[in-house]
Amino acid sequence: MRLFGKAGLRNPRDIAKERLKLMLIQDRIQVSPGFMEELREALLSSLGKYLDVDREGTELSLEVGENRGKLVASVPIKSVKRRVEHD
Amino acid sequence: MEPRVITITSGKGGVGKTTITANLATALALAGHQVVAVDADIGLRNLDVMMGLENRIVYDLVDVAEGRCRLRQALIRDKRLSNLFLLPAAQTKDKTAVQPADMVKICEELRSEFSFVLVDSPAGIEHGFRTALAPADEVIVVTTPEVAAVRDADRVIGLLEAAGKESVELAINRVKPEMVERGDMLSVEDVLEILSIPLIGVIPEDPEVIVATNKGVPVVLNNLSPSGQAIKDMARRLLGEEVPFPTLKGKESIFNLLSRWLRRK
Repeated sequence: MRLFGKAGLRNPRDIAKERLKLMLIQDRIQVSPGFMEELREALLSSLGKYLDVDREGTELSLEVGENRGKLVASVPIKSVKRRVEHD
Repeated sequence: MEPRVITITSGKGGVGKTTITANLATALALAGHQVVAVDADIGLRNLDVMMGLENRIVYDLVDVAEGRCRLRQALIRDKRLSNLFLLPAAQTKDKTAVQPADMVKICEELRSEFSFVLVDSPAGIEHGFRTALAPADEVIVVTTPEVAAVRDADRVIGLLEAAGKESVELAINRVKPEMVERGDMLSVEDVLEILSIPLIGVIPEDPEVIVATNKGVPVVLNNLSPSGQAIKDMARRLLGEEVPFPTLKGKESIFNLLSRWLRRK
């Protein structure tokens, strides 16, 4: 499936589809209370198996640009674990 | 068969909720079922107009909710089909005149006499929408292949999920296959891919709907109308029949898409 067509070759149908997908990324996140918090917890707990991270210093944000949504995470690392901790 | 309360909603206004409610009710009645169509759009009633019953209204939904008449007194029998009824909305009250609990109670009473109760929801996601939704066993979300309508449908689907509604199906109205073919309009497949809920109907754009609305005769009664046929197909699917979706011209057949979607579940 083609998500992002080449610029200039896109028809109104593809443009509509692309715009909708971006809108819905924002809408769905904005209308779900706690979504970002839950995502942050899930991310930190799986990273925690590999790294000792600074939870308080972790920043998570959603950026929706011209043609894609992007999740940006900044996670300060305190140390790398010698062994991966499996569940 | 257990009586079924089905609410027809959309989020965005003007996508064809009322037309679909009137026609689906008529199609189910044509198939021999006892059907009542309930207009929950208080203050902006239109379902009576679509069914050509606007001159027969004596009592309405608000009168029933406020105890000014019995439910039976407010029901209007269709002109053509003796097993089809309308419970009209009030034109003068505002949307808060009927509470969700009133609607649940009224629909409970209707279940004892009808096998299908179709509730036409107002546009929006406020009080009137929540009232229309409260009694629903099943919900049909109507959209058109337009960005704003699909966006609003997605918001409504999210609210329905949050409200714990398990049976939520999609009807895509006013599809123009030749525009899809040219790459000028979202296809049925595009909309399904984005909203990912089961499909119950695909209704093509059809000028006969305007003619039918002008005459107050539901378009399903016109055997030559493509949109009428599509809504009859929708009724058959509701009744559990497997009715294939007509192959709309486009890159991928809807069957492939549906089977792919089902496999993913």
